[in-house]
Amino acid sequence: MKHINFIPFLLSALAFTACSDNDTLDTNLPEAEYGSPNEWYYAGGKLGTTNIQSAYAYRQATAAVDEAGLSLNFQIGESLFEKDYNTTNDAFAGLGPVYVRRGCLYCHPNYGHGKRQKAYRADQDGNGYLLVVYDKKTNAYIYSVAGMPQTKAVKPFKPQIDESKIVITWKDYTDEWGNKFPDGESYSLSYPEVTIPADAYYSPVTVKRDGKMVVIPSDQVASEIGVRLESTIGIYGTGLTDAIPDDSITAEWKRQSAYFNSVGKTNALNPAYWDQNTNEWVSYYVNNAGDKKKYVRRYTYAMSRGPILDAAGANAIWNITNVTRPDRRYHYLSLDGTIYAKSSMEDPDVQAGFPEYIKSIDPNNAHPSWHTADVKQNIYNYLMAKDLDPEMSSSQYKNFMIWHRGLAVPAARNTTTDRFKQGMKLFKEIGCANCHRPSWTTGDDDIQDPNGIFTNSDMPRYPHQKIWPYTDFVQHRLFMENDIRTGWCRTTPLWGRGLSKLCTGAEDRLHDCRARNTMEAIMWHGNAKSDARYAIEKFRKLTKEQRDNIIFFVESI
Amino acid sequence: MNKIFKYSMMFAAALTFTMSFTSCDNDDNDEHVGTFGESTLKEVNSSYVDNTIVATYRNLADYNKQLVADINAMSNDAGVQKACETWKQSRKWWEFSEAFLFGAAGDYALDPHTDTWPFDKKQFESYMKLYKDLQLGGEGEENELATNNINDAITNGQNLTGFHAVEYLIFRDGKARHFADLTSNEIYFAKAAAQDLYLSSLKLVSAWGGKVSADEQALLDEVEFASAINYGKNFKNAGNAGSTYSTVVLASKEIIAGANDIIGEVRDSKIGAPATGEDINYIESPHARNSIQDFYDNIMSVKHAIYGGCTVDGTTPNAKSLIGVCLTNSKTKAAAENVMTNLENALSKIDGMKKPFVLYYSDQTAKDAMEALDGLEESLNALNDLLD
Repeated sequence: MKHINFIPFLLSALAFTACSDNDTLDTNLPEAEYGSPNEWYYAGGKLGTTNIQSAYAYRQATAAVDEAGLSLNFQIGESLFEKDYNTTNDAFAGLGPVYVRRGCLYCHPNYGHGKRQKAYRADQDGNGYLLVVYDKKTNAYIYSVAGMPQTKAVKPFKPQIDESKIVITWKDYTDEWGNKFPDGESYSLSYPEVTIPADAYYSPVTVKRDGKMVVIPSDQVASEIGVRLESTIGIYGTGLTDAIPDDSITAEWKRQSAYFNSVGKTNALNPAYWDQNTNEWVSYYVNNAGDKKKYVRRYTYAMSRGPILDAAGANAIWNITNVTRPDRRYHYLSLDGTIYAKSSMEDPDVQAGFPEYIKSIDPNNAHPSWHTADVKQNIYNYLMAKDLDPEMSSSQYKNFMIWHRGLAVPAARNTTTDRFKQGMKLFKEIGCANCHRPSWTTGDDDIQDPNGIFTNSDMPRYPHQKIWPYTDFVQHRLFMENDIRTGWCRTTPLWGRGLSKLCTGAEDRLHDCRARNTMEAIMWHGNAKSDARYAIEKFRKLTKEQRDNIIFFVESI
Repeated sequence: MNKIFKYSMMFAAALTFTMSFTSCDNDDNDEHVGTFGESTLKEVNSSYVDNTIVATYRNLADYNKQLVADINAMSNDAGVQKACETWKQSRKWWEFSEAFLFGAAGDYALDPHTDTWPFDKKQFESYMKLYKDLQLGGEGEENELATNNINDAITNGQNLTGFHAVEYLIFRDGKARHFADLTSNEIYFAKAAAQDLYLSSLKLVSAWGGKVSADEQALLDEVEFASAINYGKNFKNAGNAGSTYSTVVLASKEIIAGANDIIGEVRDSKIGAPATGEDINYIESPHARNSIQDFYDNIMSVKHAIYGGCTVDGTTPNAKSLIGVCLTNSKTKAAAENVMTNLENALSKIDGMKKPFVLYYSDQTAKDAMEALDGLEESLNALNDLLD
């Protein structure tokens, strides 16, 4: 193995000096500053990169999976990701009573980014959208639906939102440059506007203002309640980014904080998380039901999550389908905790169907409080129960998380070409790399699990790897039309995205899939107030060949 | 997934940089002369699309069409038996397609839609109970509403559709059900599920650039299906502008990637999960007791993919297949022969598994099959490393 590793290193150095397929391209990239083609190739480091660059590129296991002897677990975990859940008592059971999707692939088509949709349908493959329903006055989620609202239900229960009434309208957008570069090349921009009428909500629309629950009258829902879409991103490589030390991410925030302070931009970092005055975190990720430790935030657009073993995937395999497991023996329901249960217990249709439903769920009356003479109370007791029978075993959950942490990153393509090198050089020079930070180095990768379930021996690990995710793990603002809720969005990793068309049949980008290709994604960064404005101004001044080379680079990494 | 790529990954890096050193090549285009001339692999890729992928999907569609006809014609036990036989044939052609689930099968979710498992019996029984006093497919407002709900559940609810839906309706304990045991609503459900299967297979044929009849095109038009990508053309056009495959050899390697994907799934999920005790619920096709045949046909799919065509069952690969051309090249000959040996061994070991799998999943023969599949995957990885 050492011999094989050595060969590309030597040859890459030679290739670096000997090859130039286009003398007009400026490809002088000092290795100390940019790294080497050999490093760029291994986007996920030696332990986390797959050389598969085909339609199967996003679903490969890392070498660390095999080295840890976890290949079988990985494959079984993969089936838990790929299969739909259902209401039988057989395999993949436990769907409902309300749910966001039947399975994972709907949102993660072929493991990749969600696809732009014209309508919101939970059963539509490729619909990676989650509905973000919020109070326009506070920017906080509404409390009468789940944080990820459930538009599907198992009878007799009813969805929190009737998805047939959700309307997505795509609107054309013209930027201040008329969607055109100085040399005449043009591009298109469009963005979604989403409406949900008051009668689509199952429960009274309820928000929290000044510490009190407030029901929004039906005739005010349109003006008081906002709706946004947030799409899934690719899930490969999240095990590698989990291996970056907390201290390294903190150092990046400190570096940026100091920089922004030095240029007088004192509101550049999300004040909910970081204090630019003191250069310190003001909020960590803490699992109060777990180890209560403070972890640096690193996952989701909102940076709502810390370590991967207690992040989006660990959560989604429970709450997207509402499939319980030993550490989650309760349902995912409305954000306040009780509104959905109260609406259901008062619903005559639910009352009528509940006895038969609960008989199939609990045929041996193991939970007496679900079978009393009071049907209303039974419904409430069942929905609010904290002692539900686990539907996914701890062993299955472990296999799922092995798979999750074991997904490899596709190797970068075209790394020895001049176009790649010039694209990389320009990517840095015009400022893209300030936020899309190219590389990180993982630490010892001692497993961090706020739930205390997994340890080092359970998981594939990635110690001391140089990886190339192209993100700073910092939130910035682009000030786009109909922007993401709060306006703050974590810089999305760019690695592997150039294979999206091949792997998924689509290449939509950005949080709501508003960009249909890389160019559109870049130009959505250009708002006058955007943190990326400087880079876009520079991008506009490049020649078409230079712009194309940046895109070539972005689609190769 | 593929189990082992740590070595191949490093080889690939070495090859990439070797190419850079010797030819200053830009791997964005396909000018390099590798193990094979570009035209050789183009022929392999072209034959793979026309004679394996499209031909398999066409056969699948034809059998699905027959399945619809057989279910429509069921009026006695012999009729159900005939439908069951056709189901097995159709199922075989689906399994034959599992070495190339990339492209339309994944992008349009036709794979999960066709092969969703398990069938949601509880939800199904709930529908049957709800509509027991109505006539699915019948006239009148109530009947039509119920029929629409069932059609919608089959079209959009993936746990109530596909092969395993039809299987549950017409099979029990490995045998055809008695016609008298089937309610008219169950028969309607079976018809609708079979029709949906047929439609899905037509989508696959069409998306890969295969021919569909005018009647079939009308069915596709009715659901407004027109693939955004001609997957067959895209594959054949590898290395040229507009193709998602930047090089010809990358497309050829897709043949191996597709094969390895199903080999890993059969080894670890379909056989491995129950055989190792990791998840004994994971046994597909239990009602038809067709599991081992499914495994065998999956590996036959691998054979078709790398030997060429879609009916090859002997030991001689087609001349323009991936293995066929590898046998003619001194660099790849031994690796190709090794693949052939491992392929025959895997088929033999699966054939030797104790049947039915639903009863004998922990038998030693299942573990032997897993080991043979491991060998097959390793041999394909070795061949993959030699393609450049």
